[in-house]
Amino acid sequence: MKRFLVLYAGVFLFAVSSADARDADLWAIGGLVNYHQPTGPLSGWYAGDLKFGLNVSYVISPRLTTEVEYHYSKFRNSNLPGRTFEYRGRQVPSPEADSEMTWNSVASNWLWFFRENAETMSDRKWSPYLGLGLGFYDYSHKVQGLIAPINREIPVEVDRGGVQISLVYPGNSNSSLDTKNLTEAQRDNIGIIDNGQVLLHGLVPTEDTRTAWTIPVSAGFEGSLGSSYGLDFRVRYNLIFGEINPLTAWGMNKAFPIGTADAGVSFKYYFE
Amino acid sequence: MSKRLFCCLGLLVALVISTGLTEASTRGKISGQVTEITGDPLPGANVVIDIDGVKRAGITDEEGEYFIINIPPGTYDVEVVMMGYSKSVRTGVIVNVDHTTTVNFEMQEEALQLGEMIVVAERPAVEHDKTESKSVITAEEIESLPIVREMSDFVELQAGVTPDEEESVRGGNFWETAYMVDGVRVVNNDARAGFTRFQGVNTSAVQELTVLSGGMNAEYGNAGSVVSVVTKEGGQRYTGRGEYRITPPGQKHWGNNVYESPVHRGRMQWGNPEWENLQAWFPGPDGILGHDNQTGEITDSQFATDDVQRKVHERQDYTGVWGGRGEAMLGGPIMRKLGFTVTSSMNRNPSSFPAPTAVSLFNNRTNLKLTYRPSNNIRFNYGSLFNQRSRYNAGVIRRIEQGSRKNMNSSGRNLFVPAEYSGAGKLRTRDFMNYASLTHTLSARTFYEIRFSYSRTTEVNTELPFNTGQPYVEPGIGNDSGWFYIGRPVVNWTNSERDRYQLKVDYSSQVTKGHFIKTGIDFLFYDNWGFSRNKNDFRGLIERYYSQFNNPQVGVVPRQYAVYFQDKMEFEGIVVNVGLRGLRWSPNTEMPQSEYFLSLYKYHDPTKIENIPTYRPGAIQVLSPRVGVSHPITESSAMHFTFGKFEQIEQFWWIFSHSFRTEEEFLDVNKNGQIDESEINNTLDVVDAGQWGWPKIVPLVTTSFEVGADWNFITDYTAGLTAYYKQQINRRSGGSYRHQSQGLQHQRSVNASGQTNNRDTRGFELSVKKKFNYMTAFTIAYNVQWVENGNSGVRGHHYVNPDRLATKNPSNFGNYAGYIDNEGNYLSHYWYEWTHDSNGDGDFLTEEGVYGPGIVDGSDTGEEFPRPMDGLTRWQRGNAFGNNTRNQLELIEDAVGRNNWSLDPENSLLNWDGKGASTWLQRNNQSQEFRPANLNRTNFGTVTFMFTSPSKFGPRFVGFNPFENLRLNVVYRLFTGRRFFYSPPERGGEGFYNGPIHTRTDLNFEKTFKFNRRASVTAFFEAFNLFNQKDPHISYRVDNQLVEVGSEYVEWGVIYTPLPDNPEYIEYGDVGDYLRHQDSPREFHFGLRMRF
Repeated sequence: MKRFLVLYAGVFLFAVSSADARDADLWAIGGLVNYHQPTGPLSGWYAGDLKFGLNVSYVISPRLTTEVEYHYSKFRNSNLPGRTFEYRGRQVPSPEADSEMTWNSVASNWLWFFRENAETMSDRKWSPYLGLGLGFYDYSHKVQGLIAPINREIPVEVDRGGVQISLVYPGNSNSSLDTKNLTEAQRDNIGIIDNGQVLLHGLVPTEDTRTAWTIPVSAGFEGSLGSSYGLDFRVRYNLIFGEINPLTAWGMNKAFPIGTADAGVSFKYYFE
Repeated sequence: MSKRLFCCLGLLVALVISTGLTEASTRGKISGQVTEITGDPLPGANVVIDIDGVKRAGITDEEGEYFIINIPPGTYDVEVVMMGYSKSVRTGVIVNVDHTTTVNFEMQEEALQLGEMIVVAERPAVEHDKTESKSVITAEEIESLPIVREMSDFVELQAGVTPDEEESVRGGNFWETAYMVDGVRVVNNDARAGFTRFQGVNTSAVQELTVLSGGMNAEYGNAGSVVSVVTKEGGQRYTGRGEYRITPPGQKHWGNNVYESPVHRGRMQWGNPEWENLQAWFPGPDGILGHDNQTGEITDSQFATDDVQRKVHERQDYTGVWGGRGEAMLGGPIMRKLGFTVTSSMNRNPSSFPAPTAVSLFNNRTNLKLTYRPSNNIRFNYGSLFNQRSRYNAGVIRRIEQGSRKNMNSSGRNLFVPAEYSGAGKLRTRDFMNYASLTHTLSARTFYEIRFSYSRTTEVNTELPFNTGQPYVEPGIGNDSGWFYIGRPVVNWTNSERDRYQLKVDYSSQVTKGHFIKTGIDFLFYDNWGFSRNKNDFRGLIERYYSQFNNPQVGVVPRQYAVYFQDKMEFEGIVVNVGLRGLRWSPNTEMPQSEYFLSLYKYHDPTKIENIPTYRPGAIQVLSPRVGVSHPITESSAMHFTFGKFEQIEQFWWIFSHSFRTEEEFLDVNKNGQIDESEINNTLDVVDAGQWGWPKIVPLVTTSFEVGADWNFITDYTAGLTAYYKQQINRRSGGSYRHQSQGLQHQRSVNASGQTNNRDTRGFELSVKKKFNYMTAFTIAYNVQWVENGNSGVRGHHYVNPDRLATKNPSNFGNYAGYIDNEGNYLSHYWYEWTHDSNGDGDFLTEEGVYGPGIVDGSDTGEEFPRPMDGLTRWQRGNAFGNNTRNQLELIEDAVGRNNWSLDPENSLLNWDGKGASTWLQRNNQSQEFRPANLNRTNFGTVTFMFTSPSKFGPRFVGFNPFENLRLNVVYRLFTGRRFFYSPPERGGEGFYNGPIHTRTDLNFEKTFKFNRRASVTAFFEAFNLFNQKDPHISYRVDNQLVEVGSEYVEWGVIYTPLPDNPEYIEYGDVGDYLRHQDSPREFHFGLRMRF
C-alpha cells in the first residue's frame, strides 16, 4: 500500500503539472462505483464484484480532459472452491480451497469528448467520449487450502487394488500422522502410503502480487447536473500486464495478460 | 545478367579506388525545397548548415530543391540566404545517420519583411524514408533518460530486443548482432561467445545510437541485426559532464543474510565459541603451506614463515559495503581546427554475496575521439576505445565451483574460502580499439572516407597460486562439518590475444536527384590465438586451443574481403533502397583433411597431431542482397517493406578450436623416471574433449522479411506496427564424429559442429511514442514473437568414408570390410591396422585385448599395413556392424543422395591409404520438427516515461523554486518466461507453455540547479526494482541439482514452493530463497551530476 501511495502522489504531481502547462482552468473531483468483471482466463477464476474509486479531472481543452483515478476492488467469488483434481480415477476435493484477488490501481486517462465541454455544461447535454490511459494496477492474488499429492505416481500395490485408498487431509484429525515420529525412510516416502492410507498434502498458500502496467481503454458519456456537477457513465476495458499462475490440475488456467472490464457511474464536482 | 552486375560492381570498385576512396554509415543528409511565399520555387538560394564552425552549403536548383550530404548526426541550425529576400533560419534541425531530414523554407522578400525569420524545426513524427525497422536514440534522448547508463541497456529498450540482458534481437543470438562504432566493426564473433561480448561505449560519448532490427544497408555488412554508434566530436566550445552515483550498503539478494541462510541448515554454529574461534594455518601469497615465499625453501615443518594462522569461520560483512559508479566527459577544442572528446567510467560494484573482494576489481572504460578539420572539405578523426575488466577466476567443475573462491555457489560450501583468494588467480580482459579516418568532401554531391582500424582483445590470468596439488589449508581443519570447502587449488586459466586489422573505404554520391549511392570495400584481417587449461576432478585435464590445429603456438589468420553497393532511390515520395554485398571469407590456414583423423589413435594427442594430413580449405564467397521500400500513405503515415538475405560467418571458435582431455597422468614412455618435454601432453586425447573446429563450416544464412507502418495518429503520438519473419538455415548444431575403430567394442567420438539446425522467427512489433511536449514523453515497445528451432537432418556436413560408399547394398553389411582404392577398385576382405609410436608396454597396452587384431604387436614402427581378416572375424564384425549401424549409414547415404554430394577427390580420403575404419557424423534429433527455441520469449516489452519541468515552473518559496527543473524517469521491462513442453498426465492439451513472467520498474528522480545558461548541478535519486518485484527464475541450482519450472508449475501452480510438511522446510525454511528469483530486491542510489 505504501508503494502505492508513493505512486499515486507521483502520478498526481504529473497530472497537475500537465494541467498547468495547458493553462486550463477547470478541475473536477469525483467518486465512482463500478461493476468489475474479469475477462478471458481470469473469468474462469472469479465472478465479478464491485469497484470503488476516486478521481481528479482536469479539463485541458474543450474536448480533451485528463484525469487521475484511484480504484479499489476485490474479487471474492472464486471458482476454486469445490473443484477437484483427478488422482488415478478418483476426484480429490480440497475442502478448504479458496482464492481472492485484491486490486489497488492508479491510472491517468485522457478523455476525448465528441462535444465541447462548454456546450455540455451550459446546455446540460450528454457528451459521449473515448478514453485511453496508462496506469499501475497493483494486484494480490491469494490461493490457499489446496491439497495435492506429493508423489503423483501411485505405487504398484495401490494400482493393483492391494491397498485400500483413503484420503487424509492435513489438519484433519483423522490423519493422525505425526511426521516427527516417522523414520527417515518413511519421510522419504511420505505422502504415499502409511498404514494403507494415501496421504495428500496441503500446498503452501501462494500469492501472485505485482504492480503491473495497465492500459485502460474506455468509452462513455457525461452530462451535467448543473453548472458544477457532472454524471459520467463509463465502460472500460483494462489490459493489465500481469499474470496469474495456472492450476490446471483443478482446471484453472494461467492468465496473461490479465483482462478485466468495468462499467459504472461516477459523480463529479467541477470547480475552477 | 550476373555478368553485367559484376561488371558494374567492378567499375564501381575501380571508381572508388581511383578517386582515393571513402565511407558512410555515420552521416546523414538534409534536403528540401525553398519557395517564395507564393509557392513558386526559388532557384539559386544558398542553404547553409554550420557544423561546429565549418559551414557547408547547398544551392537550390530550378525546382527550388537542394540537398546537403555528409552531415554528422546532431542538431543544427540551417539558414537560407538569397539576395532580395530576408534570411530564413531553421533551428533545432535533427540529422540522423542514413536518414534524409526534410527542411523546407518559405522566403519573404525584404520589401515585405525586415530582419530574419527564425523558426524552430519540428522533427517529423513519421520518417518517410525509413525502409527498415530502425530505432534511433540521439544524444539529447540519452541525456533525458539518465537512469539508463549502459549502452546495452539502451539497446534493450528498443523494439525487437529482449530486455533480459541477452540482447536477443528478433530471436537471434547476441553474436549475430553486428556492433559498429563510428563505422568500425567491433568484432564480436572471433573466439567464443561470451568472451568477446562488446562492452559498449560510455553513454556520455554517444552522439547517436541506431538499432536496426530487421534489415540493413549493405555497408553494415551481413548480420542478423545492427547496433551502430556514432560518437561525439569535440566542438568549438568546451563541454563537460561528471557524475558519481553511490549505492548505500544493504543486502542485495533475496532471503536471509547468507550466514543465516537455511541452505546451511545445521551446519553453522554461530554462538558456539569453539566453532567460531577455530583456527587453521593458511598459506601465504604462494598458496602453498610450508613453502616460504621469500626464500623459496620448503620447510621441514608443516608451515613456513609466510603461512598464517587465522580463524576458519570468518564472516564477511558483504552487506555493509558502499558502492559507486563514476563517469566523466570532457570535450572541446585543442586548437582552432582540432577538437577532442574524452569520456571515462568506472564501477565499484558491491558484491551481492560474499566474494574474494567485497567490491568489484578495477575496471575502466575510456573513449577518446580527436577531430581535425583542416578545411571545410576535409576531416580527420582518430578514435580509441579501451575497456578493462577483471575478476577472480574460479575452477569450474561441471558448473560447480568447489572451494576455488569465496561465493555462494555449491550451495554455500565456498563461504569460508578466505577472501582475496582464488584457486585459479584473476582473469583480466582488455579490449582496445583504435581507428583513424579521413573524410573528404569532393563536391556538394560526393564525399569519400577512408578508415583504418586496429583492435585487440586480450585475456590474461594473473596471480596464479603456485600450489596446484595440495590441500589449501591444514588437513582436517575447517572441514569439521564435512561440508564447507575452505580452499582448493584448481587449474583454470586462459590466455588469448585477438588482433584485427580493418581497412574500409566508402564512397557516397548523390549522383542524381533521385539516386544516392554508396559503395565501398571492407577488408578485415584477423590474427587470433588462444589457449586455456582447465583441470578438475570429474573431467581431468582439458586443454583448449584456438590456434593452428597442428601448431598450437601459432594463431589463425582468417581474411575477410567485402565489397558493397547501395543505391537509395527517391521517386515521388517513394524511397527504394537497394543494396548488394559480396563477401569472400578465407580461413587462410591448414586444416585436417577430415575430422575423421582425429579419432584415430595415430593422431589423437597433441604430440602426434601435426602428422595429420592437411589441406587448405577454400574461401567462402557469398552475395547478400537486400532491398527496402518506403511508401507514404498520408502526410502522417507511411509503410515500409524490407527483404534481405544475409550470410554471416559463424563464431570462429566453432571453426578453429580444438580440445584435448585426459584423466590420466602424462606417461613416462621412455622410463627415465621423469616426464620429458616430449612426453608432456602425451595422454591428452581429442576424444570426449569438447569441441573440435569445423573448417568446412558455411555461413549462417538469414533471410528476413518485414512489413511495417508508422502512423502519427494524433499530435505528438506515433504508433508503429511491424510484422516480421526471419528464416535461418545452417545454424550450428551439435554432433560428433564417431569412429568405429577396428572393432565394434569400442567407439571413439570427437565433438564437432554440424549445421543442420534451422530457426524460424515470426512476430509482431508494436511501438507507441509520444515525443517530448507538455513536459512529458514516453515510448512503448512490445513484441509478440515465436522463435522455433528445427533440424532438417539433411543440411549437415557429413563425411563418409569411401569404403562405406562402396557398400551399395545395406544388406551386404555382413560382408563389410571393403573400400575403394585410388583407382576406383572395390577391395574387400582387408582390414587395416596400425601401430603407434609408444613402446608398446606404455599407454595403450590395455587396448590390445579390446582391439584384437588392431593394435597388436607393440612394435614401434609407426607403420600401417593391411592384413586380411580371417573368415570368422569378418563374419562377426560384419554381422555386428550391420545390425548396429545400418540405420546410421542408411541415413547418411540417403542424405548424400538427396544432396547430390560427391566426394572431392582432392580433399577426400581417396588419396589416403589409411582406410579400414568407418566414421560418420552422429547427430541427435535427426529431422526434428520445429520446437520453441530455448531463448524464446513470446512476449516482451518496455516502457520508458519521462517528465521534465522547465525553468521558472511553479511557485517560488523564499527565492527557491522547488518545481522547476525536475526530472522523472520510469523504465519498465517485461518478458515472459522461456517456453517448455508440458504434457498433462491424463488430459489433453499438451504443448508449449511460457514460464512465469518477470517485470521490473526502475525510477529516477532528479532536481537540477542551474548557475547560468550552461553550468548546472543535478542531485538525483534512483530506485532499482521500485516495486520490489520478486519473480522466479525458470531454473536454478540448489545442492548442485538443477530445478526447473515445468509441469509442477502448470499442473499444481508450484514454483519451487516447498511442501508444508517437508521436514527441512518446517525446521529451516526455504533453502533456496536466495537464488530462485530474478533481479535483486529494491535498491536505492543517490548521486550528483555536474555539467557545463
